[in-house]
Amino acid sequence: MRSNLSPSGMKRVKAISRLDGFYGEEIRRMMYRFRRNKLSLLGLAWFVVLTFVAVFAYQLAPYPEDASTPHFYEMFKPPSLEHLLGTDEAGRDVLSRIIIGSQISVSTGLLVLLLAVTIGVPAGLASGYVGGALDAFVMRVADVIFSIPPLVLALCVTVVLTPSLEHSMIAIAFAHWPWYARIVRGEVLHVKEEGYVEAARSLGASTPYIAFMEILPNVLTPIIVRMSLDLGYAILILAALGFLGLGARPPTPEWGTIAGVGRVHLPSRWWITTFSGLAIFITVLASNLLGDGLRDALEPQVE
Amino acid sequence: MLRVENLNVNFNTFDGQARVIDGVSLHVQEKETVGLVGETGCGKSVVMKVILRILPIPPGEVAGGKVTFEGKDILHSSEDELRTIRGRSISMIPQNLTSLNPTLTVGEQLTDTLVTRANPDLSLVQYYRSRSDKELCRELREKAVQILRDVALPSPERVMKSYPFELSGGMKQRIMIAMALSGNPSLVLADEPGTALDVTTQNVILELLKTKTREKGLSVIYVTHNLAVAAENTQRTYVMYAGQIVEVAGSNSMFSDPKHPYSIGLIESIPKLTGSDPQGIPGRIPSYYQPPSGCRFWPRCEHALPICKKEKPDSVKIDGHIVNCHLFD
Amino acid sequence: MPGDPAAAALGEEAKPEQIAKLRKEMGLDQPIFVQYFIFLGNLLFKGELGLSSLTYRDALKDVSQYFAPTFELVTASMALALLAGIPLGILASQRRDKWLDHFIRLFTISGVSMPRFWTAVLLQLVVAYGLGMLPVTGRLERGVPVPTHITGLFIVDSLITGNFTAFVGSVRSLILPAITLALSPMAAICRYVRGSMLDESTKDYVFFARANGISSKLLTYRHMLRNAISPVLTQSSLTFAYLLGNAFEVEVMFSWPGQASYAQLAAVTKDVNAIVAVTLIIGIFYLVINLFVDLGYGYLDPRARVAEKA
Repeated sequence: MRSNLSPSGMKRVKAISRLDGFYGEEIRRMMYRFRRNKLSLLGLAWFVVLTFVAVFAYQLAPYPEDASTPHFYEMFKPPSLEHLLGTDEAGRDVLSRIIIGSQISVSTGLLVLLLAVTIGVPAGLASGYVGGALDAFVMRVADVIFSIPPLVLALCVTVVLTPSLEHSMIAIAFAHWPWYARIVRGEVLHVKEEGYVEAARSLGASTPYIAFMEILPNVLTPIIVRMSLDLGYAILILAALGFLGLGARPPTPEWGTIAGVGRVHLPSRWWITTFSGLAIFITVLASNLLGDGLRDALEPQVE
Repeated sequence: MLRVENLNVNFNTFDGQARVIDGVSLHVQEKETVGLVGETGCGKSVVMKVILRILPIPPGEVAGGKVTFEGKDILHSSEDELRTIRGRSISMIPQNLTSLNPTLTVGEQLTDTLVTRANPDLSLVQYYRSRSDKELCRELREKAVQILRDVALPSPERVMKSYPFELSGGMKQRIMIAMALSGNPSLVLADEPGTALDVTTQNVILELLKTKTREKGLSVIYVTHNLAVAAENTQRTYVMYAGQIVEVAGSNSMFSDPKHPYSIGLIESIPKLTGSDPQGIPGRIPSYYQPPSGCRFWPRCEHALPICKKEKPDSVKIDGHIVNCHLFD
Repeated sequence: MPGDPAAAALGEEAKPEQIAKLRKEMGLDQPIFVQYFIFLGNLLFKGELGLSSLTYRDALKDVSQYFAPTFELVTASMALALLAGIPLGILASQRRDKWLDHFIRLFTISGVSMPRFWTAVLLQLVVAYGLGMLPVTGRLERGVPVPTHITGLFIVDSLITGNFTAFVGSVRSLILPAITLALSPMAAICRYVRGSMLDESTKDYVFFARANGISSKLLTYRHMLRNAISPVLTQSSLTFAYLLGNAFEVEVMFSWPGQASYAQLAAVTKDVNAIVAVTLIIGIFYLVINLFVDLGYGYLDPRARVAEKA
């Protein structure tokens, strides 16, 4: 990486300076690159707004009780001044439901990722470090998961577990963990090959220390990038499952579910599906812009 | 014939602005062979690329200076005008053996070049239509074979059908020379020819180049880090360091009596059969993002004066040498 | 057993004896190993995949019938994605960091971010319902004759039989779903091509070619594209297979009678045989496509050809 070391590079010196280099000037450089990318700033901005909305959803929604309370006499009103995005089949204000739904979408998206990482990272660590049969087994499983499109996989798992929001979350996490395992495992193998492990061991380091100091810094970057990109996909799949009726069940105001229910009423009552879909779109767009910018900042390509 | 005056080139990257070329001036007369010597990374290739205007412009940027070729202002010429110059008046022989397209046969690359030479304003449509013209194709192929024979390539027909990865380094270098000379240029920019080859082959290639230069009365800029090559093959030599020209003199004089501390250092680092062990020059090329002020060599110069840091030295004429060094003020 | 196919097939009213009987018929009462072997035997010797618990036909037959429409849709989408994505990618790489590049990038990232059902809805609302230019759903509109069944692909069949009305009709019905499905791979392809071309532009042979006077158009399309395109094509083959299994939302939205909606139905009714059949078909096509890509690779990159000889 930083090439100002003398060629006699003792591996120990290299290891420590890798750490140092990472936590020092690198971060400043990354932030500079990130700031230059205007589109990603846009993504970041929207995400901040979204988080704000999600946190204060009940305060911001014009009709907060509409999360679940039906008002049947207000059914199917098109967008108007009172109901900016119209009302749905139970007379609930669409805008409010979307705002409140943001809580679900954002939190479940993040939870799914967290779950995937929690399974994937240890799996990758164990796989790479221990090697042998365990490694082979984990990689086989990962291969199988890779070869099936995530939506299909999530669909299958959700069906098997009986459809619900929680189960669809599990299903999506299940489809995504191999990515993280693979990243981590790659780094573990790399570190093993380069002999950093032996060098550190010879200095009396214990296994957890090695794991943290050698592996973590290098793995952090690709994982963060991966997560920011995956957030968008997780939300998309979640919404798709909800749309198909396999995710959150009505009246939970999850965006996909709202859209799915509204589908039946197309084309006359177009506002239900259109606006919930719009919300999904903008959120995923922001997540992807953000992830894209992060990737460019953290892992710059050729000039 | 070619005149470069006070050229400044920057590279704008994510990491900042690299001031790669700082006030470089040089010139080449007709039928003259000039050497450009310097360490790897001192910017020699960049200058060559600027002369041909093939520097990638988004990161690259010509911040100042003038390049005149036979009266034409290169830096302000249009792309169309440049295309009539490239390959036809000025040619380049690249240093890297990867300079041939790996997915096209030699024949295809050669004929493409020839077709473009004949008609620089060839549009894509015209190009594809010309490929179905059997007569034209045959003519081009014959010409190509002839050109390959000219550079002493054995079995040119077989070479034409081969892909670059099937050929040896020496053969590839010859092909590149052939392609460069095929348009009858008056100026050839030879960027470290033969450095990627073993010494024997390198000699052969250099001999070939010399012969061709003589035959066709070419002007050549020999870019190299190998002083021996420069000494043997050039009439005048420029020495360059970190984007600045430090000295220029007749080649024999340059090597027998170098004036600039850097030139002296370079000469001394050549291994000799007799005499003392070669001395390297301590230190490294500076970062172009924060180059040393004034004369860029002062951090590594044992004769550095306080003024070296502050001001860039003017050119001083001494003994037929032109030196940029405060020691001679 | 929560996922008991027999119970699912008979519905909720079934009595335990009926379920047991059906299970015996379907061989579900044997231990798993035996079931597996019987399954293999049926597959290899009789080309049967077992009865679909929903339709009571051989699942394999079911799938092949439903497969053609999906294949048609996915192929059309892939073609669209390549036709639009590659030129856009080249364009973006040439105007790097300028306004057009950013715009194309925004466009492609949007393409990837749009929920497919939403795109479908928008297209339907605007183009089909609003402008009335194209049909809303289905493979053929009312009144358009169904082309004679040769391959099962309407476009191909109608061309072969010279049935012009059917041809136009099937194309018209194909447009909206194909666009919807194509957006995501198009974005990926565009991205990839841009990156690949930019990488190529720093390679030595590009400099040399330019130094020899080769025009940038010739350089881009003949010299650089060859080198840049191979990873794109490999990626596209994976995308193709991915789309095959993933055309769900689109097929549902456009009432496209394809294998994805069949699989969805199977998933909902726990029709094990059907799901297995679908997965098998996808797997086979994946292999076939990879084979084609390998061949194509050899054509484009002569180094690969030589490696195979050795």
